[in-house]
Amino acid sequence: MTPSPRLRSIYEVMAASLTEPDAPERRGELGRGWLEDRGLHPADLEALAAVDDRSFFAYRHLLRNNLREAIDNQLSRTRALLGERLDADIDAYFSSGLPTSRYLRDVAFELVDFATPRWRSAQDVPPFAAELALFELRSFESSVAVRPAASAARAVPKLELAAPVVLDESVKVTRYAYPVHELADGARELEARPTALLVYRDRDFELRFLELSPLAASIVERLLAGAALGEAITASCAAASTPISPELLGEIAQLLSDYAERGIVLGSPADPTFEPTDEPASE
Amino acid sequence: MPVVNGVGLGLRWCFLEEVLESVRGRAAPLAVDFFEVCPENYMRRGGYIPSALAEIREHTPVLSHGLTLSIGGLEPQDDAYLAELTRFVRGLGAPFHSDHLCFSTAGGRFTHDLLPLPFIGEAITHVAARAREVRERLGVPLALENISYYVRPGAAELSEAAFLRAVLEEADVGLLLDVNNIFVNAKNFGFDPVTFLEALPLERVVQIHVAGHCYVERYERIIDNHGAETRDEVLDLLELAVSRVGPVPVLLERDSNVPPLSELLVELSRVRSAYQRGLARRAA
Repeated sequence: MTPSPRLRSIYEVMAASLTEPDAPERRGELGRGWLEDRGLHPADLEALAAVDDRSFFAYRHLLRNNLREAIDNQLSRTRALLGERLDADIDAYFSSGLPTSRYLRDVAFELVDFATPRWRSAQDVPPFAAELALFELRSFESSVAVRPAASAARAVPKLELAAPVVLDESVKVTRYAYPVHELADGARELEARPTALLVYRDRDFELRFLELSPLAASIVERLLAGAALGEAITASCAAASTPISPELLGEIAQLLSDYAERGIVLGSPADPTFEPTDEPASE
Repeated sequence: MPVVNGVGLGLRWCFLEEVLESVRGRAAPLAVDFFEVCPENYMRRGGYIPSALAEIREHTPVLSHGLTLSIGGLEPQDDAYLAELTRFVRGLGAPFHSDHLCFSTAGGRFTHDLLPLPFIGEAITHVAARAREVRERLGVPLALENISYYVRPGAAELSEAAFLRAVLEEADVGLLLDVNNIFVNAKNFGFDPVTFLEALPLERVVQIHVAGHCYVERYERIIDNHGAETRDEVLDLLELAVSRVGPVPVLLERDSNVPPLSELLVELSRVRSAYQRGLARRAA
């Protein structure tokens, strides 16, 4: 079906009005001059030119409030850090175009992508602000990860060095220049410290955070990328110039056992008795 | 499919725990005949929220009311979205799925607001074709809701009521009748809500929505924000609508300034009274 040019021009005008900045001094700006040269049918141009532009601005008000509420829900700590400055970023983001996702929860991700370069170059924004926002987004991703945690922990999962390790879908490892997870409420200062943070959702749907050593982070990152356990250990030790010793292997075994108890490590696809989840994923 | 009637609530996460406590038998049963959810808030998502929904739907019927179908949109249907929506609606066991008679996409972007369609013949043909396609792909009946709007986009060729009737009949889909939207539009555009309601294809109504609204001085408009208690005038419209259409599920929507559940239940009891008055008028 060929889209109607008349419908298209009306839709484009309505959508464009959503991203127009709203300000009392702009009264009258969304009139005939703004509408001309937008390909409207002459009758539609006349009808829309007669509309009080506060009606267009009302839509923008609704949209902005709707998206800001969604953003604040997901970036509550970033909001606390940036305060009204975040509104300026949201306004600039709106002005750059409408969201590309139908899911409201994706809007915060789009905003952070948009705002991160602005934050990094701004004098009035703490240097860890972008990492704090990323931390909040990673936490959110973990909390809504589709695959549920295994229903029961295995005391000793049967892992094999030659096979990959199945990790819970909620597991994310992110490296930060600042320990943003330690930022106290109301604080605006944070000492830089390279930090590798594992976030996962436990069996009661609570988010948990583990600060990892560089070697542990490297191993888990490789496992998340699908490497076999032995390969992940060998490559990580080589990258860190850490010799592989019986003691180190024992520590890694202990770590994996702890991860299994927490529901981070679910098992191995090489284990014929392994069933990774108690429910199918929804997609 | 279950027959759902009576009065229900939009399931909001701020009172999810209280609902769970009730369905688990740890708190008193709630006087709520059904809940309604927005699929987009549950699709592509795991964790606590969908787990809670799965538990609730074991005890209470749940209806599906979407936000982003963009039935009037010009972009091709999103196959992945429709496939997932179909799985969600079927998994929910909902007797039908509803969305809004609007467009919410333009140029491949999402407006995240429900924008009005022009009341012109081209829009009827376009929307009806898309609605038929969606209805067939979903495999459950589809209903479209009359929306509130602040701009009438373009030169109308027919009245809103005639436009609604033409779309619904050409697509053969149901009407989700939002009486608050009628009230808001009537106030903002100066028409009689009762006359408007009477002109609608009421035989197609499968569900009714009620909600609150507010007046925003800056825009000199009543804004349909679902953020206040339902006004008596809206409940009067509900009563009239129920007297015409008979028993259907009636939903109280509250999306902002959500009060404690106990207060919502008091408001819901007012909705129930209006619903019962409507049924009594119908029987008289």
